[in-house]
Amino acid sequence: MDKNILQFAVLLRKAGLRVSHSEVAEALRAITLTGIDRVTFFNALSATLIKEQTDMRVFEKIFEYYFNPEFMGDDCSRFGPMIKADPKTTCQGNDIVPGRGKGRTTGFGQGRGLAAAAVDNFVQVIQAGIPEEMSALVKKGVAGLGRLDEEDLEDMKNAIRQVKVFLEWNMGIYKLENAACELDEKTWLVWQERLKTLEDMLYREMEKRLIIELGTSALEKVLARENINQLDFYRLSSQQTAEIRKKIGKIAHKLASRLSFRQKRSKRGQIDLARTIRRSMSYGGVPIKPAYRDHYPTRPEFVVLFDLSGSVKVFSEFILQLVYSIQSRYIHVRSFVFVDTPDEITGYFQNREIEDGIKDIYNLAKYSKTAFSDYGQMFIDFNEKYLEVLNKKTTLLIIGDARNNYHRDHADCFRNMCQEVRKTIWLNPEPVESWDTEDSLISLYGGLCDQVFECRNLEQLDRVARKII
Amino acid sequence: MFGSIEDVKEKLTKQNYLINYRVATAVFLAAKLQKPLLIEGPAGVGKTELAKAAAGALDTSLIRLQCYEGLDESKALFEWNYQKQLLRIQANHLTEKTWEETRNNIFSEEFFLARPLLQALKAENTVVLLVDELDKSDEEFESFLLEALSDYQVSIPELGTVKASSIPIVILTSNNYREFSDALKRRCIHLYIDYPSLERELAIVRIKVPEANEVLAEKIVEFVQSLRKMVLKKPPSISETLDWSRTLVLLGADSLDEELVMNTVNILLKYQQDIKKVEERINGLLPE
Repeated sequence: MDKNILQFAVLLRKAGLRVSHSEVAEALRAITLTGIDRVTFFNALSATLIKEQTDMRVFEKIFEYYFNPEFMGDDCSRFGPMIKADPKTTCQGNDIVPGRGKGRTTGFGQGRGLAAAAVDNFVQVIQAGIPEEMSALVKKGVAGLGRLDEEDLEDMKNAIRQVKVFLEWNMGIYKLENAACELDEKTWLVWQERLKTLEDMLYREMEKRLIIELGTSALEKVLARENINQLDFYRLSSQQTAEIRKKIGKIAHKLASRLSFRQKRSKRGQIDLARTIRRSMSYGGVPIKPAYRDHYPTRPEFVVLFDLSGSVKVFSEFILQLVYSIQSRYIHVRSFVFVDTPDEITGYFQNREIEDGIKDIYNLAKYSKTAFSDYGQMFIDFNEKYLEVLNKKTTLLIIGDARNNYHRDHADCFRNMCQEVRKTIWLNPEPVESWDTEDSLISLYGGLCDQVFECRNLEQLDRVARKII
Repeated sequence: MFGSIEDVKEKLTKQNYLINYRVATAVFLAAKLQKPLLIEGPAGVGKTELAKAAAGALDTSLIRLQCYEGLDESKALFEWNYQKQLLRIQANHLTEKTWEETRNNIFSEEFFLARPLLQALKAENTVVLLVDELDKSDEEFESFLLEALSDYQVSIPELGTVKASSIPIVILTSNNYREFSDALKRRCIHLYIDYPSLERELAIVRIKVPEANEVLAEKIVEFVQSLRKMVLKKPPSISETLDWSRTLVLLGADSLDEELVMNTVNILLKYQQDIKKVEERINGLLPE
């Protein structure tokens, strides 16, 4: 058992959770005190190993996958968990597999009658909301895929989509929506909750089966996907997006408090000589009380340009959140969004919730004429309309992938903007390897900037934010 | 002391504090492993109450240290009673006492003010030390606390090292206003208390507001639970449910209707936006 807990801790670390040796030792002591029936075991481990509520979801998941009899064998302590599962015994669901193995993407070949039954079943399960039925439905759906292979692991979203088609998921939601219209608000809220739970269950079931069928390597891969600190912003699930939002809030808070901490300290450091001497006059020239230089906090001014074209949208929204969480503290920000023309969005956020602001941007701001990014055109328009917002005190921050769709670059306009400001920083959410490939102009534009950063996951964002603020 | 997890549960229930198995496990482990218990969760779910109930269950005293910005060692650990010392010195001047005598005199127990942390360490029996809202304190204080809690002893220059005669049960609470350092977290047993399930909340209302009749209590809890499903700035927590139940009982209500709810909903919701949101769809939210 001890060995299993150690391995479990290793897996937790792989998923980006911080677990120290002393905590593992504590967990071991804890289970000797509490015993190891499943619920107590789970509680004891979570109390000793997990120190942050946001990590709980991942912990639950790993616990479920790792301490899973099907994965570990019947007796957890006798069989090491790293046994590769036997494909013969684990392949299930032969009875409902429509086209086994290859060719299943082409469809399930169900007759009309059966299809109608599937959607009714789905609706029924949601309306009843009995957990056993829900998990049975999910199990049936995943089993419907037949044998899972590496490809499903790589592209799990696709596999999930196939299951949803099999279960007539969207059709079910449509039917539920219609049914809810006739009923009251509360039932709809409950149903929505259940739909969310069901989707979550589906993902879990899929991962669980993948791990059982493909063994340890699959487990590690699934866990690496949970490590939100290092995960690409593009590969986030909706839950992870919510977690990232929370973490960004924390980064913002840390940045803001760090500055105030430094200012509190630094006030004591510098001695104001003139005032010290003047004060010493009343003591006959003995500088009994030194006078310190006052610190006048300056509010750094930022002008931020967000690329909102499809390719970098997710990333821009995260930065937007970061910038606005700290804005109220000490930064003066003017922000613009663009696809091929800039539009100011500063006003959308004043005294408002960030979500409402983002919604308004998409509804009201005029940032796109053609829906294809054109940095050159954007720079021209910016020069014409907004050049007066730039001055020697401002820092210009541009967030985008510099993919220009082979339009003219108009780098001279950009140079003109760079010369107006104190500093220009470019954040590129693309991996460095793909910079300057195809229509990317990052070296051309980047060459005019003071700093260019690759910024595609939370860790990098944290680092960059510390550097520039 | 608690004998088993079941025992924790039973004893706390006797204190009118209902807990589930997970919370009981954490409390049990904290007591047995002699580690501080760090409780996090939204405001008003009963974090502080848990500490009070634990003290009640163990039939021992609760020593509370309320944290705030600027809290420092002297307020948390000990202080010399400065004013009293001054008076003593002045009084001694009038007598023939030497300075040596005075000095020995003014640094004695008489002039010593033990603050919560030291009180907890010096207590004869096991006490419950509640460090409330630790997230409100400064980071320096956090690291100071860490030192005191890691081996349950503190050094005082004039008196020497004070070692805990019995190790107190330490409960830290936090509203997640700021992040704690990893060092602190590593030393704690962690517990997150979330909003309760419908059954548990109903049981809590029944215990704490026995005046409310069965039907009303059920409706109240059902309504609050559906409020929590909405996206609100500040969802109502248990303490708000209890306040609201008491109010409704005072108003002599025996069922919920739209007007009554809208007149009293400001007890549950603390933001105007939230109230508006609820007002818009009040009909759908009310239990039949």
